[in-house]
Amino acid sequence: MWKKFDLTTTEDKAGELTLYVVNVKGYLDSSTFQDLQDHLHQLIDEGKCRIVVEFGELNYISSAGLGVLMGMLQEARECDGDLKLANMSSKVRNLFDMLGFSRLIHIYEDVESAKKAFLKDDANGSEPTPMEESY
Amino acid sequence: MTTRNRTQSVLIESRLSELERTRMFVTEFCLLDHESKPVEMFLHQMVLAVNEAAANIIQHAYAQEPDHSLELILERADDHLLATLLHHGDPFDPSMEIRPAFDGTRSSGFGVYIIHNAVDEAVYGEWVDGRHFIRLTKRIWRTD
Repeated sequence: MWKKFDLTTTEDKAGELTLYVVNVKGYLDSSTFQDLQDHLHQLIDEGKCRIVVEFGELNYISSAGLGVLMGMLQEARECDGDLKLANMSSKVRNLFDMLGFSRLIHIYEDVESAKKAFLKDDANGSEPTPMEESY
Repeated sequence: MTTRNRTQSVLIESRLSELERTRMFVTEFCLLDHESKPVEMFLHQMVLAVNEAAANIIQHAYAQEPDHSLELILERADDHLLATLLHHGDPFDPSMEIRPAFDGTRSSGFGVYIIHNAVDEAVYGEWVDGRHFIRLTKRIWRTD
């Protein structure tokens, strides 16, 4: 049965670093954002703060979804991690660009690029990758 | 049949699960325009703005109480699309608008910010029958 929103998380490696890839599917709006918020909260509470949110199968995001991402970005960075976004559709990317969020949160073409950025962050002493290296 | 100027309306229940149907209604209305389809980004931004306005009415004007409804009227008027959302809930006071926090300290305030960025004009007021309304206007970006 098709679900309006679903998410799965897989553990992954970037060199020696362990990170978590959260794949979100369907649409992220006021009726579904709580699932993602609870899930990201749980990861961060467990100290799993290097997170890639993969948007390949996300059809729609509203202000409620943006609010979750901005809040969780802050929390992830406070525990020496980061929240990076990957594989956005042009529609979803348009919203981030329109609102200026692309300058605040790291967005990558795919998960592999996000993983490489985590390696660079680590080499730079956990400083987030400069924005110009996002795509 | 000309599709240049036309109007269509729908009643939406005051439940957040109705937002998906609201977005589909806007999408289908725009795509019915066989003469001159709007470009995809126009459609996406109009859907975004209507979704945020409807969500605000359900969450704030009706305080998430079920058993209320709002009416969405879409109107194609020459080179503009107008979306009017009418409701019996509390009116929106633009002077009380919360600015979004881009540092992640507050998750609210993005909805109105999206509306103002996605459409050319957003007007709030009282309708002739006493209902409150928000009217969104956006010039249509055509493919031709």
